[in-house]
Amino acid sequence: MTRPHEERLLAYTAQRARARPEYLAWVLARYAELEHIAEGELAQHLGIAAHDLPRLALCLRPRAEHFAADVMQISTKFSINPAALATVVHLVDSVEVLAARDAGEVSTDAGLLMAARARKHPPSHDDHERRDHDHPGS
Amino acid sequence: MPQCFDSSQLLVLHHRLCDGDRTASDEFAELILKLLVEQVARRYPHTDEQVIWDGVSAAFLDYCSRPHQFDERRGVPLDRFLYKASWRNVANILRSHIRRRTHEAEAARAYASAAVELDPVVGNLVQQEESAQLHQREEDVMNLLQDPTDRQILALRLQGERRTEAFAELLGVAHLPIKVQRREVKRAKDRIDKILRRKGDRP
Repeated sequence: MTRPHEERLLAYTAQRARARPEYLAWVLARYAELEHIAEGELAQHLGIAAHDLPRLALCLRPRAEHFAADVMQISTKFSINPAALATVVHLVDSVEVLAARDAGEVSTDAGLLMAARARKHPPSHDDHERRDHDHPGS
Repeated sequence: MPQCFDSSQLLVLHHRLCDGDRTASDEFAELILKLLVEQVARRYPHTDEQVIWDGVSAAFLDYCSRPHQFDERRGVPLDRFLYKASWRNVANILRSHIRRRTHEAEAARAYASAAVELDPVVGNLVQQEESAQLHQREEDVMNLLQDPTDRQILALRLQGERRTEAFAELLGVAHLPIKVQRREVKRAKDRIDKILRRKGDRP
């Protein structure tokens, strides 16, 4: 197997890692999507040669609990700017958290709507009396 | 099996992955992907390169994200563990391809029977029908076997594989002398033939 063949194999595997949130490939792909930038621009932003991008993408994503150390480890290995990498990861993390929160809010709203719709019959006379008793001024 | 690294190198990387090292996966990839692809391609000689790459990369990515799934105390070398995971992935991909082709061929057959006289590509449809029948037959034969290893052996035979070592790998007797491998492979093939004859079909 020739060297270009090996490079293609690495690039292919990095491509497959884009579907796996455990890998930096996933983070980089989301970032490029959010910023509407191509791979070349992403490499430039991180200060890495484009042909090294698949290797960087095959690294595991920095863990929240060891964030600084993990970012530093990856940055040192690929001689990239740790601040730039941290920004990329933070941005994608934030968007992920917001998306998860939105999904949570949607489901909570759905619950409230269901609760609001729970009463199928018009309020009875007793209900009006009870409400008047609770809020005599209204 | 020629390899361009020392097994202890892999174990060092494995320990680094287990300890949470973020960059060990990249080094691991450089060390092992090529070898895995070569080994799996030898096992599936008539299979599309992309299928092999898919199987290998899935096994590799699975392992690196969950390195603890490999238990070195079991005595299986790490490269062997990854090789097995890779060829199993490839076998699954091939099985799903067969299933998909069968469904596609069935749809084509239904279409052909509805419009065969008017369609200018009738020749293609006849070919598709023949191919569908073949795939259906392969699928039917495969369903007659209960044992997963028997199924894999049959799948290899249907792909045209004839080398003893390919079957010996499946049977886990590749480490034995070639004479014993031949005997075990023949025994397995005869057993499968017997099952198929008894159930009314042959590969």
